[in-house]
Amino acid sequence: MHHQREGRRRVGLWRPATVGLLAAVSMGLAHAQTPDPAPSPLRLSGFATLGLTHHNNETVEPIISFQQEFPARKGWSGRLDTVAGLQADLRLLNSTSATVQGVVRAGDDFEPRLRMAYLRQQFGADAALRVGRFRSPFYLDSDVAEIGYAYLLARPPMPVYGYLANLVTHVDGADFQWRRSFGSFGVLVQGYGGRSSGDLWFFNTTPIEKADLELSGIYGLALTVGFANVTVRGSHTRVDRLSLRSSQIEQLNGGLNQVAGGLRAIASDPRLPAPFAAGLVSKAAAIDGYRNPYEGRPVYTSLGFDANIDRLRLIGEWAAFDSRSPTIGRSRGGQLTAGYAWGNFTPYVSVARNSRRPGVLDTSALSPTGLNPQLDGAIAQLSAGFVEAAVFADRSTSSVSVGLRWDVRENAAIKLQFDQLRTPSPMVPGVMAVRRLPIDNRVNLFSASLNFIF
Amino acid sequence: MMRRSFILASVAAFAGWLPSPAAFAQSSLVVVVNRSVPVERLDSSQATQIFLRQVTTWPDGSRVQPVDLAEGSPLRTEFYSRVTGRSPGQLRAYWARLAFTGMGLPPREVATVEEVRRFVRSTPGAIGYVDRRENDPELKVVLELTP
Repeated sequence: MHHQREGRRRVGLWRPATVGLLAAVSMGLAHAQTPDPAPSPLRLSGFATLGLTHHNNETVEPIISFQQEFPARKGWSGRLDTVAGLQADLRLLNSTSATVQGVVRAGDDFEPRLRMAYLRQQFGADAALRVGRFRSPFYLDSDVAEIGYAYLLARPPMPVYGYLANLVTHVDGADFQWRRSFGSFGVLVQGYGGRSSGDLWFFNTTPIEKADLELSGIYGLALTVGFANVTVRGSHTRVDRLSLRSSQIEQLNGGLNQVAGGLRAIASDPRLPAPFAAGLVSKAAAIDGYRNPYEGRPVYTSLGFDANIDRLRLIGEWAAFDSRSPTIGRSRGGQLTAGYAWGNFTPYVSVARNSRRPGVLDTSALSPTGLNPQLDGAIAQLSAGFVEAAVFADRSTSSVSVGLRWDVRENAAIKLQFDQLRTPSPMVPGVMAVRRLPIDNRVNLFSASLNFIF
Repeated sequence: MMRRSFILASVAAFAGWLPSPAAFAQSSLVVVVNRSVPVERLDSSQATQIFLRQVTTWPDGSRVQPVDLAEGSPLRTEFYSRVTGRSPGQLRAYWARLAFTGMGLPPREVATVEEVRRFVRSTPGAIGYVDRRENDPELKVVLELTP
């Protein structure tokens, strides 16, 4: 799928070796993750996953999110889960600290990304303020999605996290955390605001195209209630503006401008009856409104729990996304995971689903005028483009996963997992990299990974 | 036949299917606090919340200062297994999640029970766990875990 990027990928071939080296080093550094308060003001730690996946589907390639440049190709691939992260925490004053965390992913050709870079000020025992970049708090497991060791499954369920959550990896801004205990439970309130940005890949274009994703005016609130064995978390996040910029979107905007301009030029002909000319002007105005079809003011909502009841582990979440964009529509999803610990082994099963309700994109203004064949040809092309965009925006996917986590030593775990991913029909691309429709809409994905921290 | 059973038992023990020898020899654990702590009794749920840092203040608003034995200590493994129901691996995963998301750090660690006693004795708001036989009368016992 990415033959045009082969040269760049060859340059990055040495990088997986660094992840392997980290694995070896980490086995001897099990205790390097020193607790608080650290005897030394500087604390270095890290995490990594060496992950392999295998599938036989010719028509789709699984992805962690649409920010992933290189999907998991057919056969064996290390692109889906392989990741390494390094973190430095520096205590500046008694209640002030600075944290930086960088990550490299195989799916991004090991391009370094900054996930956290913030100053933290503690106010007494109850409150703290972070200013800078921090991991996304949008959903229950958004912040832990790529820290394999800290998570029970090979990865958070793809139908929900591949689409809704992993697209926003971080927020640049500030968050305020306030903790309070109330007898048998503790409460954490996290208010946050800022902006975020990243790359988003359109796999159905030729060549595969990168768009610049920007979210501005993010503000939200997360409430976590912790009982001894159950943690319940709800969050609600609003975004003032989500925008996507790419050369294809610019071309689309240019095409819409030309068509709207053409209609206005025709309408200005004094020989046309006034009502007809007014109709063309209003059609041109409607076409103006089709520009930047992916822009919206999305709202993210999540309600989830994580329970440890003796040996039983239960994780559940309901997640919603309203793009407030007629092209993308709304999504509702959820996951339920159950694991049972036998010593160092935890077998688990998980089901997840994300269903999209299409937006109401009224493209009636893109109907032929009957006045100019060239203009009508352009309108037909634009109309087909919108239909395709709406089809490819359908990320409805479900999954059933079974797996086994083996805590081989105190800082390392091996996970084996089998996922069956499905979309509702061969005409629904789901949360996967799809070049063209129809697809074989069932993927049997096997994963084996070594996860560790140091 | 005996040889086969031995091999199976060895494999099971290696894989973690059987409890470790330490689990067969459970000790009497006590959770102790500094004399300044305004609490007389805790139950296992409250101790869990404190050591998982879900609760960070005592009822009078003073700061909770938990102290842990270092990883690998049998007493620590037993404490977390009996009080929180978590294995060392689960516990490390829990703290990894908080540490790598910037949402929290595990309690201070010390190497020996003597250091736990010293820290709890000298630090207002401190809480730790020791073997009952090694308890210090200057410390207040708030939870007893008998075998």
